[in-house]
Amino acid sequence: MYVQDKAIVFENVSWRYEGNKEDTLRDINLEIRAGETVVITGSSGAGKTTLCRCINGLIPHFYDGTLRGDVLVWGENSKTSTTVDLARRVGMCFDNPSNQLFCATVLEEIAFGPQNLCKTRDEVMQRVSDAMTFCRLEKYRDKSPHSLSGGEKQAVAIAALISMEPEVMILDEPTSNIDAVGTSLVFERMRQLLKEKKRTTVIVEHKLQYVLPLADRLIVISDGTIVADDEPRKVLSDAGLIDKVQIQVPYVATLAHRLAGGLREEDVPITLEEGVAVISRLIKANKVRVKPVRRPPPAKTSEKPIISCRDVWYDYPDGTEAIKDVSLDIFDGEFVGLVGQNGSGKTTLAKLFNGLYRPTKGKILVDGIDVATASVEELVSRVGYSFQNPDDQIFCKTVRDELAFGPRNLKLSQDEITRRVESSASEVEITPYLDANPFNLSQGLRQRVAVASVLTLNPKVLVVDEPTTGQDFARSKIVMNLAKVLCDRGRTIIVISHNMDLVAEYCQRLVVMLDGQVLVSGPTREVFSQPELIGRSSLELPQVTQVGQALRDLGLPPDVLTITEMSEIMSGVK
Amino acid sequence: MSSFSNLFRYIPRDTFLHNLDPRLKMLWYFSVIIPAAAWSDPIFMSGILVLVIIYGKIANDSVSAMLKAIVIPFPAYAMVLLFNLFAFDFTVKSMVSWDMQYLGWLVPRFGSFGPFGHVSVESLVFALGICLRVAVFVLASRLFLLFTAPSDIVTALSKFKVPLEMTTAISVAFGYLPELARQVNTIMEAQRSRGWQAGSKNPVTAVRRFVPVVIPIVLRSMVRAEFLATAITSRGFGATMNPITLRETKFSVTDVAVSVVLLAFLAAAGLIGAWYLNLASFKVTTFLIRNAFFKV
Repeated sequence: MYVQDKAIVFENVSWRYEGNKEDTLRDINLEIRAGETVVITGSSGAGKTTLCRCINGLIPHFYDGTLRGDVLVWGENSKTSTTVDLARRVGMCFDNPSNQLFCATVLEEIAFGPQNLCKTRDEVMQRVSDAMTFCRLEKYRDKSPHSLSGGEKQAVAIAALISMEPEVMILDEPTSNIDAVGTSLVFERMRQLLKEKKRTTVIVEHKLQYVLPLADRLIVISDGTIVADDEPRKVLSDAGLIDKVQIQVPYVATLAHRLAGGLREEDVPITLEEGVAVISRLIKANKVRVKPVRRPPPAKTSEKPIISCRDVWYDYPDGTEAIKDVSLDIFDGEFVGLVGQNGSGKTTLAKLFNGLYRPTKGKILVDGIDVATASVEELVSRVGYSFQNPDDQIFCKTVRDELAFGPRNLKLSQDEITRRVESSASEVEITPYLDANPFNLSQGLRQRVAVASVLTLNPKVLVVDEPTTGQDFARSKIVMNLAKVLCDRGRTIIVISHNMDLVAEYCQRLVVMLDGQVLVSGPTREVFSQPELIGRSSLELPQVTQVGQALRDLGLPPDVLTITEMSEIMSGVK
Repeated sequence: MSSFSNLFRYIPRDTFLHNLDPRLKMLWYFSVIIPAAAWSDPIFMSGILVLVIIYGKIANDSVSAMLKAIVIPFPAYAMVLLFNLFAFDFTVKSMVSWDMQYLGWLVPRFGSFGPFGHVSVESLVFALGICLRVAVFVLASRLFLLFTAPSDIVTALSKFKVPLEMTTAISVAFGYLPELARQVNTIMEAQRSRGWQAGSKNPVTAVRRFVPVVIPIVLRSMVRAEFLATAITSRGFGATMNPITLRETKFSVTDVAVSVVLLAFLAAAGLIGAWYLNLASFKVTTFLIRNAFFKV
């Protein structure tokens, strides 16, 4: 007998995509009750998205493969229901807004679902109006969704979901491609939605610090199986499990664990405020002692600028001023983070360094060469640019050919091309894959191929654009470690990123962009100790830095950058 | 690329043309395109172009934007002109029943080399007519897209009983155009960052040089098409073969009056213009020029 308070039931569900050798989901048993908000997390490729596709019927009706077991949505078996039947009850918002918006205007985008499901035009317009008002999109009604910022695009996708008024909402990594402002916007809308119209909600997310305050349950998936399924605090109290499955739990939880040497379930903090309270209690109870900070002098960097910008302006062809009067030096061998919210001009500035764009006014010298007059060959062999998505550039049949593409464009000799291909492959550790088809490699390996294909140009400076976007924590760290290794070997690294935790851990210096200008530039520690400046740029300080600043009165330094550093400052007392 | 897509997109405004019934907007488009396709004489083609510009002003379009749209097919204009200068004698000369008014050679004789490209008033006038036709096509297309929302196109097509799958595909194609333009731009920048450059004097090399751009575009588009299909499916596509339209389509008195005018114009353009006044050739302008400048 089916109980009606069970919205979703998985009974021994396994799924294998056609052509795959292994199951993506393995023997999943799961019940989600009506009105529950469930957060699902796990590393990339663990099977989270596949699980969502099972709920809304894309599996088995859209994707080919073998489904074993049963998925019941409000008692209806997904095998016998159609995707249309399920779309009436289950709405899904996908990870990349650009991949799910397909109408010419915001109005049409939000109306598409109701147009298919409603009986009258008045009903369609009422639902559209409600969803648009709720997501505060009225002023964008007639704009193309693709002209909006990342956060606004995802708000449109959520409005399109809400307007279908589904009984079950699934949000699959709704903030993976957007900055901190967009992330806050999306979760603020979600918080209000769940408060006003409580309904069954499944949220897949890596950024647990934002989403856990909304969650009734936290499910951790690893390698296609559920390894934890309980109240969030209970799951996070299992430190061994967290280490094993490599998910990014809120830093305050990790920190509290390390300091207390294990926490009771009810003491596990999931928000910054709770974390500050727990650590404050530990210090006041003398369970943790704050040690005086002795920092080694900062590593001396070269005084020779490899990139020098003076009074640089850049206007887009439509006349929009993208870069306004920027003067900046990047020094030889530095590891620099270029940060700022979407549209602040950081990517445009970086593209001026390698000649993709030429300054409208002002002067940029790269290794002594004027960007305005230098040839493409001169610039790309000085500044390499690794794009966010490796699939934007990979086109060859073998990794070897892909790596040789750049040097061939520079018309180097075959011997020199071979030497550079092998050297770059060795540098990013992809030598065993040189004769493999790059399209058959994993996302992580393809990203290495993309970086190596730029290194074959032998650039002194490497720009890495958004290496962590859409990646889980473990993969993001792998990319940043690779950049660190390249920096240690003498290259200048410029990383463009939204992920302040990783920027804090790796970058020696930060350049914060706001509205086409450099808001502040300085050592990472100095920049992060100016919260008012970070606030102006709509960025968010690393959680561990925020803890330090909140507990300054108890002796914590306000410029701590990493958990390890914070643990060292407070270690020694159990 | 993005500025190109900006020139050909819907801009919501409250103008007479914007408020027409979607089916009438299609009739308007054909009322301009059909005469432009049927006529060739530059004087009369200029008349159609001016008419389209007037329509543009009615749709509150700026003259500078219209000029930009007209200039975009510049390579096509150049090719038409060159082709006619070099091939007119072989392709169009049979239409001429009088002695051609030659002006000289484009490439003069050098020893045994040349001459090539016999420039005549007739070839220039003919080429100008073709260029004006292209300009009318481009500008009329811009205006049609400017005052017709993609959903209106879908509405009109569905009224003409075009299958839902096809109308949805057209709608998605229009909506996706800006994102595709952005994607193409990113891929070209990624390859330029590895020293890739477009173009070559050798046409075969020029085509081969686009392989590093075309392959990622095709592959990314295929992946994206799958994502879009899942998004469309997840939003209930197929629940009905008659989705609710966002706008009620009912012919008003004004719509009826406008359709009568447009149909009358089409009939006049076809019957009177092309056949009776012989506007389909290039003779009127040619005779005027020959009389004015060469006293022939």
